Amino acid sequence: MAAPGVRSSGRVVGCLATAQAPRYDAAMDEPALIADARRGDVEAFNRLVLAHQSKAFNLAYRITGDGESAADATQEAFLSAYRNLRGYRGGSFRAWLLRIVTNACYDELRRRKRRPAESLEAVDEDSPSGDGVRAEDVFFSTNESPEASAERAEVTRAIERCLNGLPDEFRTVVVLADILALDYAEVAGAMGSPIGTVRSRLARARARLRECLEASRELSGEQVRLAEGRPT
Amino acid sequence: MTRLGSLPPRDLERLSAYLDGDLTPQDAKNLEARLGREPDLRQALDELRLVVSAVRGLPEVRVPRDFTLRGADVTRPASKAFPYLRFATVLATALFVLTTGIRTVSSVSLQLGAAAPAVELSAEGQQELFRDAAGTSEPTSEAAAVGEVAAAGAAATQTPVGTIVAPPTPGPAGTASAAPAGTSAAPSLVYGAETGALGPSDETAGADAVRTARVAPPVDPVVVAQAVLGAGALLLLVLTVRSRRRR
Repeated sequence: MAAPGVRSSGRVVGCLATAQAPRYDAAMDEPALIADARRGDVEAFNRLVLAHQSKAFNLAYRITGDGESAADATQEAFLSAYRNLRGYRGGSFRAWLLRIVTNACYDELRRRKRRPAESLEAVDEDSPSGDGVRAEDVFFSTNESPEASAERAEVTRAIERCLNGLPDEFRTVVVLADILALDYAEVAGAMGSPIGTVRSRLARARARLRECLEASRELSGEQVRLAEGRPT
Repeated sequence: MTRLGSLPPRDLERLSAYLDGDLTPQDAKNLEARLGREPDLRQALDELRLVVSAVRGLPEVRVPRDFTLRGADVTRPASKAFPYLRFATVLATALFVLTTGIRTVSSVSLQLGAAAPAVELSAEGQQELFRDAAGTSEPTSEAAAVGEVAAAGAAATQTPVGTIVAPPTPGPAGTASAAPAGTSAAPSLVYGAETGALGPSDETAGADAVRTARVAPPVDPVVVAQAVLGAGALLLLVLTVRSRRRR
């Protein structure tokens, strides 16, 4: 099978990696924790929460485009997951959990549509990366020059703007596959869609993103860097 | 216009899946062969790769806080129906207690107004009556006397002041009225009065007395209402508890 290696280019930004990495418990026995949580053990469930909360929140943030709404949706999703653990029938627990998060985010988006004043566009003006932190504040590694930082912040804002402009289903599939790096099977599980649908939506979403980025002329700088093989 | 925009949807999906390593080896080989001879397709792949790289380069967002659950968080909030169920439960219970109380008080007051020995005698008279009805057509004077007392007792049960409504009449009519006195007073009095007025023969009166003694007591609607209220209150209590149950 061809593996062109794009997926391996997933970059972890320095300051964020140090902030998030220690929370994951790699040695945990997930099936045992799920079984304990089903019997009402909240502490066992909380270990699962700690293991998955980063991806859950990032998914929520990228779908809603708003840190506060994302936090609410994530909390609601974990609560709902705990109460409906008996509905988990095996398979990828992460995909099952992220599906609940996705549904919570869609509920939030529907609520927002009923209140048009708080649209994604309005949220995008500040582009907070959660908890009131702006994207450029958390995006860059500390050894990057101010010019490079400013340039990267522009690119980030452009990508976020284009991402927020996608239809919900397209945005979700891009976030799951490209930002959270889930494989197609997990994306399908998280979206409740067949793999064929995932593949099709992802391709179309990427094409739309390309159009959007080209139109905003923000991709050119990134393109040059990538062409020159500079680290990103 | 980018290369991606003009690409057939099927080729776009193939390129996208190729970037993700999701094509079968055979499909990947076929696509690579096309990429070697179709510059536009190769250009489209490069554009797609740039987009994917850019999106994957987005930073991981810091989690603002722990989303771990506390004991209070997992408590299921009470159902919206809970206040209504609670009110209905209280109402049904209050009605049940009220009707039970009224019935008990009235029953006690009636018993106080009735002559207790007469009730006992009426039972004896009933047994005597059965013997008479089965064996002899002519009631003995003793049975008639018992019947009189029983009728008086039954009448007294209906009227707490002790007034004898149906005058004791010697003979079968009196004994007939005595028969059901120990079980149900009201029908026996009416029946006894009717038979007394019509003046039936001794045999007919005896048979009527036996029939009357075997008539099942009528269902008291108050008792039925009480049972319904009690069961309803119990059911509502269960529903109320379930509506606010915790996980």
